[in-house]
Amino acid sequence: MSICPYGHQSSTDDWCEVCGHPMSFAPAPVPAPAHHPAPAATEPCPDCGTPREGRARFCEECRYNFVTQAGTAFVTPSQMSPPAPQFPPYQRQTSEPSGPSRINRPAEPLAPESVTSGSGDFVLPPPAPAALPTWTATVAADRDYFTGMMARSGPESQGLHFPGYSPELHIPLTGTQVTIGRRRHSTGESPDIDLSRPAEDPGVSHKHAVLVLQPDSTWSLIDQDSTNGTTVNGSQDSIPPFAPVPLRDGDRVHVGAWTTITIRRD
Amino acid sequence: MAVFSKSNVPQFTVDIYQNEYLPEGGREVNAIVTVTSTGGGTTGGKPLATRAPSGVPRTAADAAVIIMVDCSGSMDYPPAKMRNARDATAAAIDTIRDGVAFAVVAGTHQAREVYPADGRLAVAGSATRQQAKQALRKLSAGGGTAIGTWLKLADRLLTTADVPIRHGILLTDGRNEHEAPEQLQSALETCTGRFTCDARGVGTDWEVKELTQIASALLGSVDIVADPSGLADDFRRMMENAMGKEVADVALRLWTPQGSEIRFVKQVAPTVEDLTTRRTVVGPRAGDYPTGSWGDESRDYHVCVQVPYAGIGQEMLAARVSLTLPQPDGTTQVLAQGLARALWTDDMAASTRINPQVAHYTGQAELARAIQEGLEARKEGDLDSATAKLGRAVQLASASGNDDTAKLLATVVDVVDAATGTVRLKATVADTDEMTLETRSTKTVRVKK
Repeated sequence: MSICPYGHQSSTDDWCEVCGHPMSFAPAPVPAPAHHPAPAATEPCPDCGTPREGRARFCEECRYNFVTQAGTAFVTPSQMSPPAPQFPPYQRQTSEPSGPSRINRPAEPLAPESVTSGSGDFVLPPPAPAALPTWTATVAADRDYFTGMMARSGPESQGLHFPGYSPELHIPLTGTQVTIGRRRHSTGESPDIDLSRPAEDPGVSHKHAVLVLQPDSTWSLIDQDSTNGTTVNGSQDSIPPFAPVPLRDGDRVHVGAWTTITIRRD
Repeated sequence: MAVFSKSNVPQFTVDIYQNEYLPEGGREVNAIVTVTSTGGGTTGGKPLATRAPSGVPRTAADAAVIIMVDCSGSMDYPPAKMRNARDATAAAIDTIRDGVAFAVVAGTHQAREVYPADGRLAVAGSATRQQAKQALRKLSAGGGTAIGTWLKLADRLLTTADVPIRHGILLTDGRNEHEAPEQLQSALETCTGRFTCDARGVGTDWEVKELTQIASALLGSVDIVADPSGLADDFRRMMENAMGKEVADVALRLWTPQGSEIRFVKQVAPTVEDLTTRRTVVGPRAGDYPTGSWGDESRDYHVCVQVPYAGIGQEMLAARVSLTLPQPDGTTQVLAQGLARALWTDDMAASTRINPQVAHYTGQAELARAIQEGLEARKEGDLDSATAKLGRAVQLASASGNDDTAKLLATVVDVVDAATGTVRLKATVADTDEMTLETRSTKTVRVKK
């Protein structure tokens, strides 16, 4: 019996007999010491091998997304500063005794040009490239969208009533992928933009759509083959599943029965 | 591949043909699985003589065959039909190998044992063959047709022989009029997996769909013998084929990963047969599909699986295909195995290619469907629909090089342009031609490699 990279027990050695992924890890970087077998309880990140912290969605080292099982192009702060010889990147720190809170991790390296002010505060250099635009998603219940949706729908929309109380939410878009959906209460898994808070929108799928950061720092919308579809800017036609749709400042994404998410650049 | 201690169990090989690249978000994996078994009897596909070729040890009585002959009243119209059926049965008996168990059954609205007529099977040898042929003189026409009863008697007789290879050959000339469709269906359900059976229809008064249903459920071949004088040759060929079988109850085992869905599993060569609903669950993610008995032969299967999306750069095993054989001690032996993978890429050129084998067999399956729907439409009087569908069939047959089917189509339609599928329905079509086309609509050709 072997353990696959995702923690499944498998009697086969080539491909996991539960999830079908290859049984072998991605090869470790050359200076690595003897290969450390992954502990059976915590699954290691398939991209960099760092043990996953409980049920955390992202790997702490390389931002691999365990939920959508997608690696990202995220670069850790330790890689962006000039390499400090005593801290090789992506070295798995399996000799650490402590668990999830990582209280014993080695200190972050300082860039040579960092300066300490008199009070002891460190001034870190800005991450390159400088001045990344930041985006915010505003989630609100949209009466116009709801009316249009009700007009289009047939008998299945009976019994839907526009929520009386539904506050606007402002969510900054951070990271490289932002999932949109509804929290699955049975497993506790939540998307980043969770539409199950008061006035839960029933027309939103658990894994409805995802916003993906593009290399030019804009965001694209990808529908995850949701049940009721996703529309943009009041269009009547749903976007096709798994096809990225680039978004601009001020675009409105409509999901479910009444939810509109407006994307704004700060 | 496993190595066998018995010299006469064939060696199986599995080859997979697929384009493993999927685009971002893509989930559907198609693969053609070619299973080849090369007989341990070293015949290389040539017909076996009545006695085994010298030098090849064969275990005696490893097979049993029942010949079921229609003896309903219509077999006497014309009398040549019954005579030819008797001669064909005699020819088949002569083809049975020494040591193989056999019996002859006369089928009407009931089933009656003709030889050895003692509730059991006879063992083939020169004496028993002679006695059996004598007994055929008692075959006479009179009565109705209830094929389910013939199959149930065959099943009873075959259980008296403890042999791995159990086969039936069935001949009818008419419709299953003296039995309700549910009774035939229930007989088929009883017999499925217990023996394989080839079915033949002589003349044009029988129902193609009935015999196709029987052959499909019992994993055998079906064909029309329009002229009764052709029966002897056909029976000889069927028996030779049955004698060539080396191993029975082989299953195609399909493992798919968690979160995946099997779209379909179809045999696509030598004939199209949809096996999707015949799955027996054997494990949390694995199921078996029956494939019957194998001699020296090769068959192709088309497997379509929808897997969970894993991400660009990820690789996943989409299907593990193996051929399995149940062992007497209850375990299963894996005879051969093939792997179908999924590899996600953002290279659109790689992921939008279609594997030529997959494309070919998708076309062949569509060809079979187009013929069946076209003939159905023609029977119902919807001539426009029939013309369109049969035109599409002509186009597919010509593009895929399926010359046999193209010739059969040409007996039902006038082909104006095969490349575009422009055809005209013939004003009069002989029943023979139409039934031959319908019966053989599922025959496919292989890709020219």
